[in-house]
Amino acid sequence: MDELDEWLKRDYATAYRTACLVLRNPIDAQDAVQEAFLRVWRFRDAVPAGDARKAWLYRVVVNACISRIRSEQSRTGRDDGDLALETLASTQLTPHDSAERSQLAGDVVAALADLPETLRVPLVLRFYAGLSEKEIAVAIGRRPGTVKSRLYDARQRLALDPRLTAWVAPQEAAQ
Amino acid sequence: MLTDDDLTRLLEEAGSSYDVPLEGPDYVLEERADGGTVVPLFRRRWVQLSAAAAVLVVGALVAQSVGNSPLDTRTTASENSAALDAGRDGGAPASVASQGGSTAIPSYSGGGGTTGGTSGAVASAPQVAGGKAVQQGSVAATVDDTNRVVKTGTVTLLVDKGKVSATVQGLQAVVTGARGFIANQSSQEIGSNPSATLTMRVPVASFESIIKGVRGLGAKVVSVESSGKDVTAEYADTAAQIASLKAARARFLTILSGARTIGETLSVQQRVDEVQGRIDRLEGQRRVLANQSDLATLTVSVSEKDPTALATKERSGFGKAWDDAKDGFTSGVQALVAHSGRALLVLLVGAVAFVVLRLGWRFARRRFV
Repeated sequence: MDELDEWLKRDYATAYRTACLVLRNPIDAQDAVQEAFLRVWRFRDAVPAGDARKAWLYRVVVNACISRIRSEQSRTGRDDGDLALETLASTQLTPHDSAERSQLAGDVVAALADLPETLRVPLVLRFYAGLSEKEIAVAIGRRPGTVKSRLYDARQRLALDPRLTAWVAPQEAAQ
Repeated sequence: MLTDDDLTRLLEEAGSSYDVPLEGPDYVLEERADGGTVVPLFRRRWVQLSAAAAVLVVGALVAQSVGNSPLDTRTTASENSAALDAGRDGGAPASVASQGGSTAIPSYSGGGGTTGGTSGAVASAPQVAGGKAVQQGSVAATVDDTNRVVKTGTVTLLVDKGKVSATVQGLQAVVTGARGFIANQSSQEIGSNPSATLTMRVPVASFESIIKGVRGLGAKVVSVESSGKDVTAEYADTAAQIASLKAARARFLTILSGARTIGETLSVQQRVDEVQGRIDRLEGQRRVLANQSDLATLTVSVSEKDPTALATKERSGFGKAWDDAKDGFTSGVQALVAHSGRALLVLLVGAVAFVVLRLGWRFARRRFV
C-alpha cells in the first residue's frame, strides 16, 4: 500500500461528503475530490508534512469545488451563485437520491443551500470535516479571525432557520 | 441557539446521506498512473535562485541609488569655468592660492607643456594638511569607471561676540580631523563686525561628516547649502581622448623613427608636437576634474551675531525657548523634506518588490492548489 492509497483510505469518504455538502451534487463532488487527490499527489513534494497536510488537502478540495461552482455560474451566465447552486442541485439530484435521503438530511441540506458559499464552506469544514479554525483558515486562504466570524454568522443564520430548529428543539426538550 | 454538538450531529446526518462511491479511490489510483510528480514553481531550485539573485540585484541598486544621493545639478559657475580655463590653458590647474592665515596651504603643480618624448605622466599631487597626500594622477588613472561628482557647499555661521577666532580654530580642527585642508582663509578680527571666511577642501566621502562637525561647533547655523555636479561622463570622455591621442602619438613616433629625409622628419615631428600639445591640455583638464571630484569644496562664513538681536533674544528665557522651538521645527521640516526623496524612492521600490513577490507567491500557490 503506497502513500496515496493511505490518504484515500483515511480521507476520501470525508472529503467526498464534504464536497457533496458544498456542491450538493454527488457527481461533481466525485470529480472534484478525484481532481483534488490527484493534484495533491502530483504536488506531494510541496505538501506540508503532518497535521498541516489535512488542511492542504481540504484547501485543494474546496478550491476544486469553488472552481466547479464558478464554471457552472459562468456557463449559466448567472452571478447569484447560490441560486445557481440550488438550481444545479435540484436539477441534478435524482429522485432515487432524494428518496433515500432522510427528512432530516434533506432539511439540513436545504438549509445549507440557503447559506452563501462563504459561510457554507467553513461551516461544513468545521462541523462535518472536523477541521479546526486554524486549519479552515489554511483551507480557505483567510485569517483565523475571518473564519471565526464566518462561523458565527453561519450559526446565527441556521439558528433562525425553522427547518433546523424543528429538529433541534424536540431533542432539547426531551433532555 | 444551535450548539456545536447540534451542528455536528445535523451535518453528520446530512453527510451520511450521501453514499460514498466505492470505485472513487480506484479511479484516483488509475488516474495517478498517468501523471508524474510535479515540483511546484516556487519549489524549483532555479526559480528560488533566480528570485534570490533578483532580490540581491534590486537591493544593490537601491543601496547604490541611496548611497549616491540624487545629484543636484546646481553648481557654481566659478568651479566650471576654472576647470575649463585650466583645460584651455593646456597645463595644470593654477595652484591654490593662500590669502592669509596661518594654515599650511598645499602646493599643486602640473606637468604640462612638454613636447616631444613620451611624457604625459601626471605631476605631483597636492599635499594635504594632516600629512596625507592625495595622489591625483594615480587616483584618476585607477577610478575611471567610478562616479565622479564635483561637490560644493556653503555654510553660514553666527557666533557670540568674541568667538570668531575660537570658531575658526574649531573649523581648522574639524577639517584636519577629516583629512582635508583649508585652501583659502580670510578673516577680520578687529572692528565692529569681526568675521572670517574659510574655503575647505575635504575628501568627497567626508563632506557630510564635515558639515556635521561644523554644526557641532556650537555656533548658530544660519544656512547650509550643498550641491553636486556629476562629471563622470566628462571625465571618461577626456580619458578616452587622451588614450586615443597617445595611440596616435605612438604611431607618429614609429613613423618618425623610419623617416629618411629631413623634410619627412620635420613634417612628422610637427604632427607629434601637435598631438602632444593636445594630450597635455586634456591631461590638465583631467587633473582638474580629478581634483574637484576627489576633494569637495566647502566655504564657511563666520560672523558675530547682531548685538541688538542678541539683546532681544536674551531678554527672556521663554522668548529664547520659543525661538529655539521655531528653529528646531524649521530644521526638522527641512530635514524631512530633504530626506523625503530618498525615503520615497526606497518606499516605492519596496512597495513594488512587495507587490511583485506577493503576486508571484499567489500565482505559485494557485498553480499548486
